[in-house]
Amino acid sequence: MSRTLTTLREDLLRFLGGPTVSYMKRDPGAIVGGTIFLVFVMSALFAGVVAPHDPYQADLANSLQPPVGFGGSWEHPLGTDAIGRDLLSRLIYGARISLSVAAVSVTLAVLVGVSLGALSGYFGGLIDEVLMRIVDFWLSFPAVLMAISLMVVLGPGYWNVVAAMTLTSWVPFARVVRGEFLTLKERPFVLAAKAIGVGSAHIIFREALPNTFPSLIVLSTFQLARNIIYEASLSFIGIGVKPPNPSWGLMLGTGRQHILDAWWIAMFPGLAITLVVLGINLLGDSLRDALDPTIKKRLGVVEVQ
Amino acid sequence: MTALLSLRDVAKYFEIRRGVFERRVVKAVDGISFDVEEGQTVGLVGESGSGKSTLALTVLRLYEPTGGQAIFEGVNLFELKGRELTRVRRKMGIVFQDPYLSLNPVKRVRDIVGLPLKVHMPKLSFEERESMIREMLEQVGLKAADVEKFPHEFSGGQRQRIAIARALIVKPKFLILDEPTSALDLSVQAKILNLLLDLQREFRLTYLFITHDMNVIKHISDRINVMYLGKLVESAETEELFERPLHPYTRALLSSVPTLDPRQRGRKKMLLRGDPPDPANPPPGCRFSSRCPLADDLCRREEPPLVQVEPGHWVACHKVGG
Repeated sequence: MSRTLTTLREDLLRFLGGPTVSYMKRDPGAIVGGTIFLVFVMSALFAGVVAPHDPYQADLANSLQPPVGFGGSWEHPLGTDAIGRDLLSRLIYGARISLSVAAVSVTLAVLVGVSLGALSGYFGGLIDEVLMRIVDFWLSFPAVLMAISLMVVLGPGYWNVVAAMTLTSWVPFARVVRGEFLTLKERPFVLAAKAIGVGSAHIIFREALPNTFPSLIVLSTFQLARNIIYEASLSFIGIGVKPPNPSWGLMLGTGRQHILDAWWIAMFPGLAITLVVLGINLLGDSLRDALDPTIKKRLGVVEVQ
Repeated sequence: MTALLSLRDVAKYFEIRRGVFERRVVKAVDGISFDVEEGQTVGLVGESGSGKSTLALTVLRLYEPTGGQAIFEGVNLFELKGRELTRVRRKMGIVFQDPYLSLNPVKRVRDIVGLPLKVHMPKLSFEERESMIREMLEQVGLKAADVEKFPHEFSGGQRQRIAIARALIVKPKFLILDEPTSALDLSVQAKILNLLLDLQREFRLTYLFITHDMNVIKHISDRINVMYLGKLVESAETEELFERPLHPYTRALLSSVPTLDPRQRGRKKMLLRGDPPDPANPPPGCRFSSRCPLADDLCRREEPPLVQVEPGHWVACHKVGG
């Protein structure tokens, strides 16, 4: 098992190395998107070092301070909220929540979706029928509605948000992997492996799965952006991450009450969400182009017929 | 001489479903019997869609057979299961038509060629395996250092050499070559054919060579089986078949071959009208009757059996012999 994981990791890194990187270096979208994404990831990772203040520390004497340039001071560059907490620090700590909820839920969704999709596509028959009907059922629900219902049942909280995000984002992975497996399992190199005498596990993990990585990489970035927005939406309507955690959606929600007298409380979390989602989407667009058939040919991947 | 592989009434049907109610059966391979003698090259020819490749994949149990037997070294391949089947696979190999599709694009040559070793000789150390892979690559005319490369770094001919190395690394006895040269440039075809002949001598291999190219088959095989729409129509030694083709379909195939021999120039060309019929809906009686210039009522009514007209020369046609 561990050997399978090692080779799978090598196969994954191969797609993300060499030609892909050199393509993306020439793409302005990738550079802008990548920089934005990197800034957010770094501030999330090193929030303790970067943030000027304690994000939970209320300071009623300094409440509703405007940002620099609008009558505020450098002490609180983006101003403070209704109970005097430093907005910049809360945004930086908020990046942790937004990005980690999205990253963890996409990872789980990949695991669930890829497993089910691979089983469905490879074995076909009854398994496929049952799993695809489940997928159809899932798709007939609006995802937001499903996420909201789940949160109402589960109650607010970090891990509950992760669970709701995972349960609403595994379906595209299952469908993509199933589709690719349907064609991959008929390809001559799979027949060649079967003629040698390998088992199904080898064919699924070693022969077929690595060939789905380009699609999975691209899909993951778009699902990441989507889950950031979903987390923010759930927190915004108060059924996501619990206060006083500095979730961007939660900050946006509380900032709404002060939108006329202290616009910055809602403005900056909103901007952060927009920026990070824009960054990830730019990155995803570029990845999609970089892993496209023309470049796939350079990598040696033949188009699925 | 003994038969290494004996096919007896091998059949593979596919079911086509259109909508919920309509089901049709395509008899892609319908009762094929012939022997493959040890050390020989047996050719299998026919148009695309005649069921040649389906037969190959069925014999190797890559498709589940619908019926019949495939006796390999006294064992019926169609009855083997699990580990017994895996053990027998070591003695057989296949080389596919298109080397651009038969090598996994994300795998290094080391992993592609080394896979049979991992399956059939799992106790080898990394070093032992590596040296066997390198030696095999050199035997098929590649460089030992190529182990690190990916398939896309090679030309079509070189890729086919990789596929051959993969098939031969565990020293099988029997190789199915499924149009191994038809995806390659003409100049490369000859090189691959010569390589296959050299390897056959060196490893004492038995080949089942599938092709639609009559020139190639004449060059390489000892015996030829001609297939049309899932049925065997003629079977003879190569020389006999080229000298005295009996079935109208075989004659049509042979007259499609361009020739440089001036004595042959005046010969009557026999051209076939139209495409092969839909395999899901073959004509009644002889399957060739819809395109056969000699066909009469009997042909359209009754299917001709495969009969021996000369020692070793079999043909299925009402119009031949008596």
